[in-house]
Formats: sequence, C-alpha cells, structure tokens
Amino acid sequence: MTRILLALAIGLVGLAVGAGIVATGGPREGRFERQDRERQSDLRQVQTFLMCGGETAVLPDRLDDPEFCAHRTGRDFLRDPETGELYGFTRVSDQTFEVCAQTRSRRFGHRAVFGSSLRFDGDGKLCVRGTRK
Amino acid sequence: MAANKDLAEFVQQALTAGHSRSEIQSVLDQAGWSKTEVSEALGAWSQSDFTLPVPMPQVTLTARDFFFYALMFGALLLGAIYLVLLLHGLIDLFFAEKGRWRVSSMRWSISVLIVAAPLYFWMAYRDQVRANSDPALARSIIRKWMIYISLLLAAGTLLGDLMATIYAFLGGDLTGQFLMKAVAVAVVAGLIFLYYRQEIRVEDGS
Repeated sequence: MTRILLALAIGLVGLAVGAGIVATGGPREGRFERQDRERQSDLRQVQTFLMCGGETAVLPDRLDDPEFCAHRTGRDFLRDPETGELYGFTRVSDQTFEVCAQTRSRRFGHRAVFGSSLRFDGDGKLCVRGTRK
Repeated sequence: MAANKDLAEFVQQALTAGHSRSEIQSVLDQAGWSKTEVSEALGAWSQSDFTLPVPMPQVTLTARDFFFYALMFGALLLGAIYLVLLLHGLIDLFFAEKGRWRVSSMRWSISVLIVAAPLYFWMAYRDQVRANSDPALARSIIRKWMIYISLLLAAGTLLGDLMATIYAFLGGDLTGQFLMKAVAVAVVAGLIFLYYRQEIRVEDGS
C-alpha cells in the first residue's frame, strides 16, 4: 500500500513538473521574457528621452541622432537588447512620435502594458506613442 | 522507560528477586504510583521465564537518525508546499486571465521540486527498505516524531482546506478555479496523510 501511494506521489510530481516546464516554456522562453522586460523598460526610457527639450525642440529624424538631447549620455536603451538594432521609430509629426519593439516571449502581453502608456499589438509589437508638450 | 528512576530500579530488583508482576503492581499501587507509571515500569521488562528480568527494546535516539529524518521530512515539507504552489500556478495559467504573473514563481517551484522530490522519494524508499530489514528502526524516536508531525500537518491542512472551501461556498466565491485549487491541496495533503497513517499501521502491526 505504501509503495502504491509513493508511486502515485511520484506520478503526480512528475506530471506537475512536466506540465510546468511545458507551460512556462523552458529556458528559451525565460530568456525571451527577460529580454522583453528590458524592452519594456527601454521604451519607457525612450519616451522620456524623446520629451527632452520640451516643446521648443523638434523631434529627431533618427532615434540615434547625437544632436538631439546632446547632454544625455548613456543611450543603450535606444537599442534592442537582443539584436542591438535601434527600436522602430516613427515620427508621426514634429511633436508626436511612436517607438516600437518586437517582443519574443509568448506570454509577454497585456499585463506588461496594463496601466502604462505602452500599447501591445496582437503581433507581438510593443509600442509607445507620445506627444511633446 | 519509567518516569522515575527509583521506580525503574525497584521494579528491576523486585523481578530479579522473583516477585510476580501482580505482587509488584499491588505494592506500587499501595505506595501511590499511578496505573500508567506502574504499567510503564513493568512494560520495560519482558514477561519471560528466564531467571533474570529481560529488558524490552527501548526507543532509540541517534545523531544519524536525526540527520536522515530531518533531511527527509524537510524535503517532504518543501516538496509538498511547492507542489501545491505549482499546481495552483498551473490552474491559474490555464483557467485564469491573470495567470501570467505566476510564471516566474512556477519556475522556482519546478526548481525546488526537481531537487526536493527525488531526494524525498529516494530517502522514503531507503527508509522502507531499512524498516523491512531492521525492525529496530521503528523504535527511532525521531522517526516517530517526524511521522506524527507530518500526520498532524497533513490533517491540519486537510481541515483548513475544507474550512476554506466551505467559507468560499458560503460567501458565494466558490468558483471552479477555487475548487480545483482546494482539490489540489487535498490531494497532496491526503497522499501524505494516507502514506504515514499506513506506515504507522504497518509498524503497529509488526
């Protein structure tokens, strides 16, 4: 009887761990989630960065324009942590911008942007839109 | 072992002198010893026809037992807690929209289980093998305490689980998700309770 109970317990733990690994996606998914959190943090920093200078300054054409907000040093947050490429920047008008990052994790979604100025598109694009005032 | 050293010595000397158990019992009753104390003192000696009183096996307490059972029951406690947390995480992930935030805590639960569960199962198996080959193990006081503490915790968890379910039902919060979580707790605590109750039965039987 005790052996049967022990075998049942082993089965239950095995099932739970197996289902847990499948559900959480393993190490690859974990790495993607960490990078997506970095992207989320980067986009918030980019938003603040693009507000630099207030309404007197004009938005740059490129995100890495060294003339824009020249006093600001350390601009790693302008680049994707995985690819090293600049985030997708769209200058909607002189004062309005949109910056997007492509997320990789399956689960990084609505919760990440809940209550913030970030927007999550269905195709995994995480965007921030802002207007300089 | 008798609660009083003098009583234990007296019983030993009386048995050595050839007095019957009933005589000793009656003398001790008159002296004011309680029935439990007397039967415990007499129970320390075997009822054999040998000329000298033969001591009954006593409970054992060794550092090795402490190490083995503390580690084994630590692994059990840790494994059981994180198994329940993992099952709750899985239920949230599959049945609730807000399940996403649990992913990192689920990873920690999986990590704990990958270490604690095999350790516990291996130790429990070894314990069973040892108990079958050496009945003296059943007299290990640490093993007994650990078993009864596990039974107490499992029974308490089962009762608490039932209370929480009734409370949720009365408050109108008994959702399918809550019920599944309550069942997960009951299954884990129930397995532990049944396992150790069976261990106790086997030992009492032998």
